[in-house]
Amino acid sequence: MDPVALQAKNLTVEFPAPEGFIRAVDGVDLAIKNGERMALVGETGSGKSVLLLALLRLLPAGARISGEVWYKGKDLLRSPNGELRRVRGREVAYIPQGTGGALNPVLTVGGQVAEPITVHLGFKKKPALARAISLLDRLGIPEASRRAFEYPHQYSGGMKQRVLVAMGVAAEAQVLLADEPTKGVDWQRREEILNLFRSLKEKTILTVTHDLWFTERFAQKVAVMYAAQIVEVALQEEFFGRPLHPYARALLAALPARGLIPLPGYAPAHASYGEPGCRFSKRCPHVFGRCQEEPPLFEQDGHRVRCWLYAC
Amino acid sequence: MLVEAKTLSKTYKIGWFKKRLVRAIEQADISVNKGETVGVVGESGSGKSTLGLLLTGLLKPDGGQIFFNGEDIASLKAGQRAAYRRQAQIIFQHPETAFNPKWKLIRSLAEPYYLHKIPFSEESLFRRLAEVGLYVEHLARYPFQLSGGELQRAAIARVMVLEPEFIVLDEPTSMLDAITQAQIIGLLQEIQKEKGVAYLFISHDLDLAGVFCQRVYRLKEGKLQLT
Ligand SMILES: Nc1ncnc2c1ncn2[C@@H]1O[C@H](COP(=O)(O)OP(=O)(O)O)[C@@H](O)[C@H]1O
Ligand SMILES: Nc1ncnc2c1ncn2[C@@H]1O[C@H](COP(=O)(O)OP(=O)(O)O)[C@@H](O)[C@H]1O
Ligand code: SF4
Ligand SMILES: [Mg+2]
Ligand SMILES: [Mg+2]
Repeated sequence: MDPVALQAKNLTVEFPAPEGFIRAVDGVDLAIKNGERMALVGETGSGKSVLLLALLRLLPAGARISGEVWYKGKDLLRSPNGELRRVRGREVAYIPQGTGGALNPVLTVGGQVAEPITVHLGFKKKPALARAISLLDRLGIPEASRRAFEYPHQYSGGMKQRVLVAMGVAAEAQVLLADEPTKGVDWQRREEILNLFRSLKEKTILTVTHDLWFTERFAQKVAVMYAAQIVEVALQEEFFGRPLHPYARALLAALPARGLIPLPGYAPAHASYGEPGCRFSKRCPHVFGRCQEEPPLFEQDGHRVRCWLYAC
Repeated sequence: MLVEAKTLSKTYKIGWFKKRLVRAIEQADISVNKGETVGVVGESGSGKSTLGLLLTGLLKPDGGQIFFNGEDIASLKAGQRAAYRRQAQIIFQHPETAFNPKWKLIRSLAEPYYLHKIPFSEESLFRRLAEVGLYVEHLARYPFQLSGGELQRAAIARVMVLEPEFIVLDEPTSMLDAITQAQIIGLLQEIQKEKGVAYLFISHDLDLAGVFCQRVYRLKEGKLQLT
C-alpha cells in the first residue's frame, strides 16, 4: 500500500475580493500517511479551514483553486464530479465544525447519520437507521435507540460533535478531515472529544485546530500554518519540545501556562502577500538580512521549517 | 465602586408548562471597581453567561439589586437608562452572532455611531480599526469572510466606539489560537490602561483568569465565591 494517504502539492486557493483576488492558501505541500494523526495549527485567518475544504473541492463558488491533491493515484482536483462525490464521504470524510449550522435542525439525528449509509453503502432505510443507532451508541450517545429520534437542538455541544463524527465515519471512510472539533466546548467536553478521536484507531485523521491542549494529546504530527503558507511540519514531541519556526515558538510561549506572552503585531494583510521577503519578518524577533527574500521550506531529519535560520 | 450586585437571583422556567426551574444564579454578591478586571470562572452551565447578561441589563433578575455608579438600575429614569445602556457593554464568545451576516463590516461598525448619536467621521472609525489591528481592506468584507480573531477584534472596536466604563467579556478568546488570545488579552489591557474601563472576565480557564484578573470569583451552582 502507498504509505501516503493524501497529498497536497502546490495547493493554492484564491477568493475574489474588491481589491482583486486574495490568496487564502498559498502553495501548500503537505502529505499525510496512512493511519497518521496530524493536527494543522496556526493563527485564525491563516487559511486552515480553507485548506481542508480545498482537499475535497468543497469550496464556495467563485473560489479559484490550483495545484494537485493526490489520493489513491488520482488527482482529486482533476477528477470528474461523480468520482469525487464517491470519494467524499465514502472514503474521505469532512467533519465540519460542531458549532453553528452543521446539522440540519429539522431532521432527526438518526436520520442524518443514516443518510450517508443509504447513499454510499446502498442500505435500505430501516437497516441504515439500525446501523446509525449502533454507531451513535458506540460513539457514546446515551440511550442511542431513543435519542436517535430526537432533533439536534435537544443535543448538547459535545453530543453534536459526536453526531458529526458519526456521520463522518458512517460510510466507513478511512480518511477523516475534521475542522476544529473542540472549538467552543468546555473542559469536560473537550476531554470527551479527545477520547472520541483517540478511539478512532485505524483511521487517518487530519484535524484543523487552534487548540494546543488537544493537539498535544491527539496528534502524532503537527503542521503549522502562517499567512496562507505551511511554515513548519514536525513530530508532536519535536513541535512541543523543540519548535523551530519563530512563529511556532511564539505560539507556544503565548499559552497561559507558559507565560501568556503575546507576540506583537498582526498577520500581514492578504494584499501584501506578493511583496518579497518572509511573511513573518515584521513580527520576527530574529529577522536578519536574508529575510528580505522569501524562505523556502527547509528540511532537517524530517522536521520541515520555512525560515532562513535553518538554511545550512 | 462601579458595579455592585447584591443577593442577585435568576431562575429560568423551562419545559412545556414552565414547571421545571433552573436556578442559574442564586443570591450572588459581586462588585467591580472602576478600572478593575474581575474574573468569574466556572464550568459550563454554572450560570456565567446569565450573570453577564444580568449585569449589563440585558436580562432582568428575579431577585436582588444591581447598582451602577451607585444607582439602582431598576429605578433609572429614561435618560439615565440610555446612558447605562451605553456605559455597560458585553462581548460574546461567538463574535459571528454579534454581526448582521448581510452587512459588510463597515456598516456594522458605523451602526453604533448612529444608534447612540455619536458624531461619525471616517477618521474616528479608522482609528478604532487601527487600535484593534484591522485594516481598511476588512471593512468591505462580510462576517463570513473574516476569521474568528478578526471578528472578535471588530467586536471590540465596535464596543469601543461607545467608550463604555464597564465591559463584560464572556469567554471572548475561547475560540481563538494562543497568540491571538494573548494578543486580545494584551489589547484589552492596553485599552484599559488608556481609558480606565473595568472588565468582568468570564472564563472556564483558571490559568488565564489568574494571569489577567486582579480578583477571581468562582461560580458554582449559581453561587459566587471569591477565590
Ligand atoms: N468564502 C470566502 N470568501 C472570501 N474570503 C474568505 C472566504 N473564506 C475564507 N476567507 C478568508 O480566507 C482567509 C483564511 O480563512 P480560514 O481558512 O477560515 O482561516 P482559519 O485558519 O482561521 O481557518 C481569511 O482571511 C478569511 O477571511
Ligand atoms: N434562556 C434560557 N432558558 C432556559 N434555561 C437557560 C437559558 N439560558 C441558560 N439557561 C440554563 O441556565 C443555566 C446556566 O446557563 P449559563 O448562564 O449559560 O451558564 P454558563 O455560561 O456558565 O455555561 C444552565 O443550566 C442553562 O441550561
Ligand atoms: S526567515 Fe527571517 S523573518 Fe522569517 S521567520 Fe526566519 S528569521 Fe524570522
Ligand atoms: Mg478555521
Ligand atoms: Mg456561557
